[in-house]
Amino acid sequence: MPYTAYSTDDFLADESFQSFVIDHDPAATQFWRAWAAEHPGKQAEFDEAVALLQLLATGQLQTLPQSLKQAETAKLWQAMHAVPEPKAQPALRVGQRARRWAGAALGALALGFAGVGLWQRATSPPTLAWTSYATKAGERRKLTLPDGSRVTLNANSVLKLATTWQPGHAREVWLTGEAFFRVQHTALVQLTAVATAPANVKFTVHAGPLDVAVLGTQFDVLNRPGRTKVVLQSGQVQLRHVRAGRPETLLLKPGELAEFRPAATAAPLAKRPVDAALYAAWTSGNLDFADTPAAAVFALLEDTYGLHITLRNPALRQQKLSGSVPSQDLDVLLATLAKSLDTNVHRTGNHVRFD
Amino acid sequence: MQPLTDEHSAQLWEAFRGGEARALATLFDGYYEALYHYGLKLTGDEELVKDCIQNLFQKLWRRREGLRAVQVVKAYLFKALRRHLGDETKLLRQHRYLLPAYSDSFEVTYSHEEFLIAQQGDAEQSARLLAALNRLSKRQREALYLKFFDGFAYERIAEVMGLNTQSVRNLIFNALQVLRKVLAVVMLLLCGLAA
Repeated sequence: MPYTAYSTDDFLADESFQSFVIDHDPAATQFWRAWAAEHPGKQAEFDEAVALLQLLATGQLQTLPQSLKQAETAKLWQAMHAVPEPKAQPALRVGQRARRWAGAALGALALGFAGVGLWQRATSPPTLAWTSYATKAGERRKLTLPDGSRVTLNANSVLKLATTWQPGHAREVWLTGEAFFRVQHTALVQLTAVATAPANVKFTVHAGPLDVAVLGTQFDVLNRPGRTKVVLQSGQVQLRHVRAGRPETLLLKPGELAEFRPAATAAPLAKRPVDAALYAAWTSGNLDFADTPAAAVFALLEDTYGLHITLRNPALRQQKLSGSVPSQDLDVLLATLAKSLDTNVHRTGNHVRFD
Repeated sequence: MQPLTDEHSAQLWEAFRGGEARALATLFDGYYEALYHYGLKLTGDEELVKDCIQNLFQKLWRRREGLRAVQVVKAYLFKALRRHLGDETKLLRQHRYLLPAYSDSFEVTYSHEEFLIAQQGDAEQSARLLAALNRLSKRQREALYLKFFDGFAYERIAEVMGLNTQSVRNLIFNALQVLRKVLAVVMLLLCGLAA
């Protein structure tokens, strides 16, 4: 259709006309100005179309808070540079939990992106600073985290966390191996229910298939191949496991042990009562018994050392033990136990038999 | 900051496909607001929109090696976000039938804040415009939004909404015709009062 035959509606819907009125596109503007001058007969339609488009062009969107975009940019950046952590990749769990502690570290980065073309500069991409603590066989380490929480790392273990933590943000660590946590409470009000607490006061241990979320408590986490266990000493712990995209949660009370059993597909998360103090005993290097049933000690050995224990005489379970045994050397421990129980012990790999 | 041009975006897209994290972050930065507002227009759910944009970009990063070159990155991102939001709201409707807010199709509604016109005396005109806009069909409203708030060409609006270009042209032609008629009445009234 020639422009001379245009109605107001035709002008309105013409993309070149729109870029003249709305975007002030130089080429379009030059063309339409010249065209209008040559076709005074079309002035009325032309002007009406200009007026309506100008009115529509007044539409404005509210500006987004800068903090929102910064937090989201930080989140993306973190996901793109995620520490290769096979079980707890933040990238896979977006939206479930805010990962804001990296916010400030990356806020500056977000601002850096404000300049177009900045990416082309030859600077190396900024990466999140991570700290990891590792222990060798037979080694134990005591650590203090940025929030003041204390951790004892057992042998052959790795604990990974962001180097800087922002006060008032969610706290997260990644654990392979075993560690005992004494977590500082950071909530201003005395929150006790971890399940309903906001993310920014929680402390989360990512332990393989399990996320262990707490507010301020003492607990032991063991995450070794094929074995993931949590024992709670005091306070409250919420366990979370994502299965087929759906989160399952379990609340622990003091004195309970939760176990993740991948083989039990129907209910992989299970809990049972244990002697919680025994499970923290390794932190001091000594197992202290005070009228402790042998059954509890066998359970501990199976849980924390991954042993399979068989008893020729089931009555051994009822015997009570008292005293102190060094927990570092398993063979010394087993020998001491056998001596106290007045029996013999045979160990083949993970299989232990008391006769 | 300077808005990203289509050419620059295409370059960034190529750099990102080649493994340049900073290029994707620049695209994220450049289009975040536009995507956020569009998503919010479609669903009205801020958290959902935030999560979907975040998921979209993280997914792009993970799958960068399988991605193709695109002509207009912004349109590609809008289309992807629209699909993401569609999938998510469908899921939400299945699982949370108690939330009536999630309707079958996207509902773009214009609000007063978007058409706050500075000059006095135009208040009536802007109120009329708003009322007229919200009486348009859903598709007309969405197409107009993409045209006037995001400056997309008909061809790109068609790409985003999954329609053909002629349908988009018709949607917008008819929508603008309705708006013109409504506003012509207002202008006549105002002229009559002045006379």
